[in-house]
Formats: sequence, C-alpha cells, structure tokens
Amino acid sequence: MKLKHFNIFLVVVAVILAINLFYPLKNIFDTINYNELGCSINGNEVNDAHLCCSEMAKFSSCDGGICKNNGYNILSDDNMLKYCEKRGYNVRF
Amino acid sequence: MLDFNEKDIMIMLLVLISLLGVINLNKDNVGMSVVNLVSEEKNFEIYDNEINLNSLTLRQKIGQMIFVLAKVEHKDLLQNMNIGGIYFWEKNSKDVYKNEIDYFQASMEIPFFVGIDLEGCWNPFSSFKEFPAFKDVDNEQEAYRIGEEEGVLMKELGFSINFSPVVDKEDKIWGCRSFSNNVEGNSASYIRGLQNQGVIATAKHYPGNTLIGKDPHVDVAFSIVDEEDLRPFRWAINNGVKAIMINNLITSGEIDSEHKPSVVSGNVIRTLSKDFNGLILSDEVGMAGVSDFYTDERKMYIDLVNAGNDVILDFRTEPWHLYKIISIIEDGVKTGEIKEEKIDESVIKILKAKGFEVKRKV
Repeated sequence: MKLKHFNIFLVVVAVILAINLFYPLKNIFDTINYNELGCSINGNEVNDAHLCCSEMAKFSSCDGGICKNNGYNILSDDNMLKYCEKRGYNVRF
Repeated sequence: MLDFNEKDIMIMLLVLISLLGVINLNKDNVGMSVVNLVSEEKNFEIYDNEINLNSLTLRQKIGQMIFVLAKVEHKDLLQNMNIGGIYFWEKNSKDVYKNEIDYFQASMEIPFFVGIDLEGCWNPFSSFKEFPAFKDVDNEQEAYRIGEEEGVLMKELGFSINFSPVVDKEDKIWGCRSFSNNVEGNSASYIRGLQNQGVIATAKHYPGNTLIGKDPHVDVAFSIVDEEDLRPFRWAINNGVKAIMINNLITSGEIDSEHKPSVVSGNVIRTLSKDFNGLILSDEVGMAGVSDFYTDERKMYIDLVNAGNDVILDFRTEPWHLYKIISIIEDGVKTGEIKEEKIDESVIKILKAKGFEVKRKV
C-alpha cells in the first residue's frame, strides 16, 4: 500500500471515529423497537422494559431468554437483553 | 528543524480526533478512571461506636444514600466513593455469598448495607435453601417462623437488609409476591421474625396497590389508593418495621402524589413520615414509572432527594453513571436546590440503622 493510500485510509478511520465521538455509532445502528419491548412474568405480559430488566438482573443466569427460580419465571428475548445491557442493567444470559 | 505543511497538520488533527473517538468507545473505562481520580481521602472520626457526621465530606454523605449492585469488579470504586449499600442477586452457594460480602466489607469503616430481595416466591438462595412462597403461608405463626429462618440465614451470610415483605394487597403480575390472606397480620409477623434476627425488613411498595399491571401503551402507571391499601403499612409500622420502600406509581385517592410518581412526591413521603421515622427507600429508579416521567435526569435525582428518600436504589452499573448521580446531587446542594440539612437527616438515619451513634462535632 502506498503512503498516499494509507493516509486516505487513516482519514476515513478518523472521520468515522470523529462521528462516533459526537453521535455514538451504536446508537445510530441500534435497531431495537422500544415500543415492542417487554417480558412475561409468571405468564403475565409486562410492558415496562425497565421492570423486566431489574427483575432479570436478580437471576444468576437466564438460558435462551428464560429465567427460572422455583415459582418465579420470566420469559424474554434477545432484544430485551440488548436493551437491558444498553441501559446498564446487570443481566446474565 | 521540523517543517510541517498544511497537509501534515490536517492529518495530525484527524489523528487527534480519532483518539478522542477511541476514548468515547471506551467510555466506561474513562468513567472508572475519573471516579478514581475524584475519590476523596477518608478521615472519618469514629470512636467506639460513635461517628462524627462532620468528618464526612458532602460527596461521602451522598454516597451513603446510594444503593447499587454488588459487582465484584467495582469493589474498589464503591469503597472509595463511600457507597451506602450493595445489592446481591442469585448465587450458587453460601460460600460465594460469604466470600463476596467479606471481600466488600473488608477495611470498610462504615460498612455497606448488604441487601437482597428474598420475598414472596423469589428465593435467590434456592440452590442451597428452600423457603415456602408467601402465597402458601396460612397463618401468622408460620409467617413469623419463616421470617425468623430467613433472618438466621441472611445474618449468617452477612446480609443486613431484606427488601421484603411485599405488603401490596393485590398481585396481578406475579401472583405470588404477597401473602394471599391476612396480608396485615402475616406481614407484621414476618417483619418481627426477620428483625428479631438483626436483619432490617422493608415493607413495600408504599402507598400500595402497586402490582396491578398497566396499560401497555402507557409508560407511567396510575393507581387509586384506598384505606385498605394503607392498612398493611400501618401494621408494619406498629410492629417496628425499620424500612419502607416507595413505589413509582402516580396515585390518587387516600394518598395523592400530585400527578407525579410517588417516589418523587413530597406529599406522599411527608404523609408517610408523620407516622414513620425509619428508612425511606426509593424503588429502583431506572424503572419506567419514574425514569420515563423525566426528560431531565438531573431533575429526577434532585427531586428524589427533596421528596424525602433516604436511600436511592439505582441498579445501572456503569461507573460513570454512579459518578454522575453523586455529582448531580452535590451540584444540587451547591446551587441551593437541595438543602444540605436534608442530606444530613438521611445520613443520620442511615448511620443509626448501621448501628452508629451519630454526633456533630466541629
């Protein structure tokens, strides 16, 4: 690769990172539809995503989006997990 | 002699910008280092069991009001910031709990509150100890015995506070968090059993009628509170409950939250404080009921303190978020939006609940 091409490459990387500085790319490419988020707690639909996140954070692990502890079950999905992680909740899948 | 032309300077500028971009990609780590930089030296004056409140800085007092997740990798950070409480989740053995709690508490002059939800049908200790679900408890003697048994185990593991019992009368979401009959009597007996073992009980979620579900298109939920909803809290107070947790619902009826979530309503907490002088805890503030009510996060934290919450539960774990909460409240005191006396009142309650005699010496 010639020096000129390398400089162009550096410029492209710098521009992308500069955009990321002001408009984080993970937000731009985030495709979660927040209106459809929710979970099912003991068979009852719950549409408060934050409640789902804080409840799921109590479990040591949730396999395939299913959290189980005796009489307490939460059903969820990948989108919910992504949302919880994005909001900083300590969910373990 | 270096000779830069316009093109070189442009490239250097771009490299600089790209470095800033990389820093932004690692915002959590930056937050961690910022927090370490602003940690303040601890010069607490503690003699025997007596602590001088004036030996805590404002940030250290605010730290006592925050309850966060007990992530082991954040141990130093939480210790340095003099955080008040740590919350644990389900673990696989007694030893894991004991070791992690000991690890957190080591060298802490003011120990953390160590809390967990062991309530209703949620048992984080299920891998090594079974407890009956509250809905299956028949009478007050059994409720007392369960409280006592749970208290013995929690004390053994190192816990100091249980976010239980749920005293809401109707549970339409979980179907198992509250006692299915005689909520007042069973909850009061459970509280006595638990607290007799030295573990603080938390009656929740004031002012009641919390577990009702809600319109799926509405982020902030409403409920009408009646005398029946309040009765279990009166029983809990009369039986010496040491903590009460406030819910995130907008309420009307017997308790009017004045069109805002109860947890930020001065009216709700003032009404409660007329009969109760124990710890007042917010519910987890990341939940939609309160966080979606605000477009300005700063205002939310200011309102949480001004409404009268002694302890704020916030389970979002990024270090920069924790740094932000403390800075917002500190700034609120400096701008006069929060009176420092309000912080002091809460910290005195917290320190007393941790077993200290609190004095104010200049």
